[in-house]
Amino acid sequence: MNNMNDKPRNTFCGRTSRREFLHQVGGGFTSLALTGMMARDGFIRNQAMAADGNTPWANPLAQKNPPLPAKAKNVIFLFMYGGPSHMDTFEYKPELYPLDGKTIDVKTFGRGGKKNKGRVVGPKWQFKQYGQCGKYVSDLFPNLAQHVDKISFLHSMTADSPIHGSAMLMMNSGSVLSGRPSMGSWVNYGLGSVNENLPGYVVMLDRTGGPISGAKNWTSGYMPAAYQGVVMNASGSTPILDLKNARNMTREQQRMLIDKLNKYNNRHLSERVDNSALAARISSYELAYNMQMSAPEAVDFDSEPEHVKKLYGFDNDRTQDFGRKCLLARRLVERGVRYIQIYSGGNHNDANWDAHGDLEKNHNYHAGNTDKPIAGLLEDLKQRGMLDETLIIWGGEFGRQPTAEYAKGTGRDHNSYGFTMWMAGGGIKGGVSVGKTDELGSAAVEKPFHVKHLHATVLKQLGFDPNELSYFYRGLDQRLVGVEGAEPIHEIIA
Amino acid sequence: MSVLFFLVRLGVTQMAMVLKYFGSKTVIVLGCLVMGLSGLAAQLSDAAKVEFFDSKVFPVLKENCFKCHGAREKLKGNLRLTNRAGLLEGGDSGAAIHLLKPEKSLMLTMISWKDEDHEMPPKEKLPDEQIALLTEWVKLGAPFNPAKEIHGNGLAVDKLPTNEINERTTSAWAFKAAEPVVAPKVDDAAWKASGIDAFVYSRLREAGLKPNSPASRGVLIRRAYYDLIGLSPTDVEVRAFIDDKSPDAFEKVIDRLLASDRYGEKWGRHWLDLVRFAETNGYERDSRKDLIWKYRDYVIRAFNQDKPYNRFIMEQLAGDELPDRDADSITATGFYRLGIWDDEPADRELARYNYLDDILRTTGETFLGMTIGCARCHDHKIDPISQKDYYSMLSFFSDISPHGKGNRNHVPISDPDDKAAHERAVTDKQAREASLRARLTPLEEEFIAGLAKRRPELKLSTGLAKGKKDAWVVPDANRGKGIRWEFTYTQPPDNWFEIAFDDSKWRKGRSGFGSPGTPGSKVRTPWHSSDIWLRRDFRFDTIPGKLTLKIHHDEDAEVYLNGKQIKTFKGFLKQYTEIDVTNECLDVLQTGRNTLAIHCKQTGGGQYIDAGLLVDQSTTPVPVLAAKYGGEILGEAKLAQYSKLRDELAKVQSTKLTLKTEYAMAVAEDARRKMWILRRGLPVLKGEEVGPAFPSILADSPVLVPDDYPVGKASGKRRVLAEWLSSGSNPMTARVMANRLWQHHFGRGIVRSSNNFGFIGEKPTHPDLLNWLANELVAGGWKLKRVHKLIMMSNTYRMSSSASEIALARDPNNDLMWRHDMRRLSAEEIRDSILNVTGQLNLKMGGPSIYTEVPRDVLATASRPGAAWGKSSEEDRNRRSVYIFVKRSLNEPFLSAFDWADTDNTCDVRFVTTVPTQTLTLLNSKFLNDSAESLANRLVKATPGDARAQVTAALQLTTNRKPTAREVDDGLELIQSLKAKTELDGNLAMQRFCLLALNLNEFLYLD
Repeated sequence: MNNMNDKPRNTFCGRTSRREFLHQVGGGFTSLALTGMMARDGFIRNQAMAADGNTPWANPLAQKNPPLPAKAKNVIFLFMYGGPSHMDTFEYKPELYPLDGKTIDVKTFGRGGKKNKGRVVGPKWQFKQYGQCGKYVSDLFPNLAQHVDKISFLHSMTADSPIHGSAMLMMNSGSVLSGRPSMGSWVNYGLGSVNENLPGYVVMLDRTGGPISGAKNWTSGYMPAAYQGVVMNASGSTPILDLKNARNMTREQQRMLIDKLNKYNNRHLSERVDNSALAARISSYELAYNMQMSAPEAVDFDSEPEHVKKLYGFDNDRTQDFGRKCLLARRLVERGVRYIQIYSGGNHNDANWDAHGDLEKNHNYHAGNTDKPIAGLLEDLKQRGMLDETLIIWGGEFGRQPTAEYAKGTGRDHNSYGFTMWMAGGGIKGGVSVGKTDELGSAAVEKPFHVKHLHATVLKQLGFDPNELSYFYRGLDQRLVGVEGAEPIHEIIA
Repeated sequence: MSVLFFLVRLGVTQMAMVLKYFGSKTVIVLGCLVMGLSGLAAQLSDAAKVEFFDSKVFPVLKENCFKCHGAREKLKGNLRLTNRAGLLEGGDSGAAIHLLKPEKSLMLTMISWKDEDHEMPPKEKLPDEQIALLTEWVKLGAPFNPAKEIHGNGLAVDKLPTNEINERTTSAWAFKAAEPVVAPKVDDAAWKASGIDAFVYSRLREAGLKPNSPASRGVLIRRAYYDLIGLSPTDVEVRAFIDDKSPDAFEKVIDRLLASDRYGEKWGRHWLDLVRFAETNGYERDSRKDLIWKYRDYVIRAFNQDKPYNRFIMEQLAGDELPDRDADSITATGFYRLGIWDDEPADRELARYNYLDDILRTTGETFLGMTIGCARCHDHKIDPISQKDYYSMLSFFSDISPHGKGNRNHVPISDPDDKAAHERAVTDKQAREASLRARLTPLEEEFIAGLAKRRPELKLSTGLAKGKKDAWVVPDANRGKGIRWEFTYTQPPDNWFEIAFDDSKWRKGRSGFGSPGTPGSKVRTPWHSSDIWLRRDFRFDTIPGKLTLKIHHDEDAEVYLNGKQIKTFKGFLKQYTEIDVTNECLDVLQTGRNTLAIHCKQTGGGQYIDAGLLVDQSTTPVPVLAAKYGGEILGEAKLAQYSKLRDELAKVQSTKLTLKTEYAMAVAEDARRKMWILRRGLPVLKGEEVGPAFPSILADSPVLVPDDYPVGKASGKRRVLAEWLSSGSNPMTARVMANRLWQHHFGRGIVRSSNNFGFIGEKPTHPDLLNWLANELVAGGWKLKRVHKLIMMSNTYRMSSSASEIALARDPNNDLMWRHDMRRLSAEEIRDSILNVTGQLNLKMGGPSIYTEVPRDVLATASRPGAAWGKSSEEDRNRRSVYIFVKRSLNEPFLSAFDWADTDNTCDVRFVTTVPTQTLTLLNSKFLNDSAESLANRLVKATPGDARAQVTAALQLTTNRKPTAREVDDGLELIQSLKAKTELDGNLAMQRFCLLALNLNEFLYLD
């Protein structure tokens, strides 16, 4: 599967093992997500074989070492769905305040189409300087602001679309077109999973619902479903779909049932020992059984001391929900989950950061829900020495315009010409700000970066050459960063 | 080709100059050097460098060097610069590049014009930036794209580049024209009867292997059932087959299955995978493709009818342009509307090309097995498909109307026969009306003339009243300040609607009546009770020709005129509506006082009532007048004649001739659009204009659309494409389809990459067999059922799947087909089988899609959890999986757990993964536990109180064979211990066992 292992025979550019891949596909590709694990456990010896019959089977989800030295082992993507306003959060635009209410010439492109002028909405919050780096942060994030020295701010992000549907796909999969694997799937594919009792790629959604396009945001696209994100619930009784036994089946009954099932299945296997898929299925019952223990354990916060819970905002109704997700993220990282994505905001309109109407109300609400938990996460990871290996990403699918969308009100339309994201931990510099938008915040003017560069940076920190990590599909070596490739953002890499 | 072209253009002067520089000949070719270098080449060819080479270096080399150093016949100085080996080997002056000391490379020295004896290119020095570029390239190790390498005469055909049209590519197995293939001679009596067997057997013999022995009848019938209909046989069917000793026992099974409607449901689904069938558009709103289920039904029908594959192609690609187009063929063009579509794209023009690209990619891979889409931004890197080929193909689709929401892509598909009959009926009706009118008119004229004379007070002096065309006798609430009505909230006496009724005690209020905020309302008088009765008087001076009632009601309303109930309305509206009530009113209208009366009733929510009456006083209502004065003017006999004609006319007029128009989501063309080669795939970088053409590797004749091909707005281009695809004149179509048939019988194609027959795809394991099978497909009139049978009747298909140590060691991948490969059931097969085993499966076919029960946790992943999924009755939920609604942003969770096809791209081969989350689904999901309960109930009902019989039946239903005593004992033992150790009651214990039975590997896998 993984084409990082050179296989010169019959390869294109001497690089990929696509032929091997095609064998697997055409052969009714049995991904045997478990075979590697079982082989490790001595469950099946030498039976597992790649479909070409020569090479030992590589379990797609087995833990893999990245080809290059890695700074980060895990990623937590805090997705501010809807598009937070950069000039009201992290990019200080002092010139914008006095222009409030004035109509000026400025090119914008958002939900409302392309416009050449608009009424400025001055930033609605004051900015103060924080940390040794003296970074200006708005009053929306009093807690997070304490951590600016751990953070690299990217003020010149750009994306291809200012419309939620396609912009979400772009931020998650690198393309405005549907059907590509999401970044977590690429990480899952490239690195596998450390913990076989938990998924390698976890997604946590907002209480109000998923983002627009739902599961397309964590799909594995053209890759096998084994790589797709698994939705976890940080507060419900079932952290993963169908994890709980139905119809009051006790653990004891389940054990009896599985033992008996194994008996039948082993008898069936005994005449078909060469078929490793059958063995994999037998083993999958043990793994499911273990997952039923492991996943609830990860979500059980009882063992966490009060001061830690408080750090994440468990003591406040507003912050509790996102706090649970952040704390679960840390606990999942500790348990080896590679890629975690947490959504702030869901559904439509003001249930997320999409502040078309009342900017103040919207951003006060969403920032208020997340400021404390995110600060807590950074603090907690730092204290535990985990921040060095955990890459945090914060941002939405785009930013917002300096001008109002409607004749009245403070709402801002979408802006993909320039917006802010930030990264911390995982070998990213602290106290750094790179790039900027013009004095209005309408478009990136200094060192513009594309979403592709962000993706390249993530892959680079995880130990990949972003232009090498590829997957053969439809006659092409597909890449997260696109066939044309992209450089990581070197300015923020420590 | 380009090299030859340049050679021809090479001037004599240049030749002479070149000869001057390379007068002496030094040959440095060392065997070990060559070997070492080719190793290096492999190492250096990474994508980025190749990209750099392709985009920057290659054009410079091609432009400036290839003329002299790339000719196949003669090379200047014996130096070849068209491949990497040539650079390293060098020519008469030595190696062109020095890998260890790149800066010392001869080539760099020469192009820098530092040595006046060695200046290249000789005519003019390269621009500095090109020199810098080549220097950088040499420093990188001179990476070369192997696909772009051009080799000289001495090299074998198989070294020629694969992405150009040359001897190598035109003779490649996939692109080669179809030729007759003769099955090899085989000595084994059992393996020589079938062509398929002869090919397979002779390959095995060559490899010193033997084919497996035949599978048992029990295994074979289960395999055949799943392969053809996606369901397992019943115990009775298995038994009958095992007991059938006639020689054609298996043939009868195949014939029966091919005749079953279940066949189309199974094989239609394979097709739906290829065309990325889905019922929503994806993206933000993921809006519905209304009526697209008709395409799904079309596909199922086509397979069941054994529609020839070439016709199947014609209908999907050009069903609207065919001379014999019908509802089916137009529905088939829904093919074009299946893909993703962004209703709010950031770049509209690019999105338009994305939409067409998606169609072209799908068409190319599905019908031709060619990855044409790879040539969108540049020439194909691997296959002989140029960017020009891509855009020429794309122009077949350029006139397709843009996709849109709702019914935008709906096209009428009414049966032409019905339509013709309808048109005939309309003509008949018009003729009858005209003839009746011709007889009526003299009578009416006589009457009006007489009336005007006899009754001057009616103001009919000229025979016809001249009044206003539109006059409000009762204005509605939207006119002025409304009007005053008499009304009451309490039940009035029975005669409340009569003209003479005394309403002086009623309240008075201005229209309209209701609660503010009711949609479309104009409330002036509040009404909050359940009922309201309203009356309004008005006058006519002359009887009007036409009356229109304008009304808004929330909810039920009854409307009376002069004591006659003229209309009743149910439910509520959100706005005013207008209804012609002339016919209803004619017999009660009178000059002078008239009374409109309304009763409105409501049950909940908003409420509102208002009405207006609009009249046309420009015509005279002869029938009304005739009813009153006819006898007096015309005499009774003539009046009777008049009335009879009048009645006949009314009868003719009242016959409603409606042709119920059926629609389908289908293709339409709306404008002629030009097409260009778009550099880098960008619409802003338009290059050469192109017209429709087939990929040049397969056809070189230009495409002409015959004059009689356009149909309405449709250009006829797609018909040309479809004809070419389905004519057999291109060799790909039949090969690709024959391979797919093989694939779904053996779990893999003869070419495993069944959507990609190009150089990067897999080579066929049995090329001759594939060609033979393709020829059979065409020879049999493109009928698929015949090929199914051909395949299934072979020994190859009937082999067992058991392992052989020797064969496994030599051919572990079963490339040579020494056995039948085991396979896991597909997502649909698993779900349908569970329903089947539990006795719940509903075999109803076709129609709008159904919704399974989706867990709330899954709905919560949608941006509108409440509106994400529909609800179907239990009966509908139990229908086959092919009828489940396909929503792009929310795949049915059970199906997606078992590797369902991706809905955004054509899917030729589904993955088969084994992950713990599947196991969780099979153990804990509601669907499985409901099914286990149904199965238990079914068993208990069949053999009450007999646990042994129940366990036996459960195992037999899931495995299609009689379980051994030991297996039954194991089941009984589980039930016993569940009861004894965990105090589970008998029924629940049986349910647990049924859950186990549905989890058996033997249930989910086929031998």
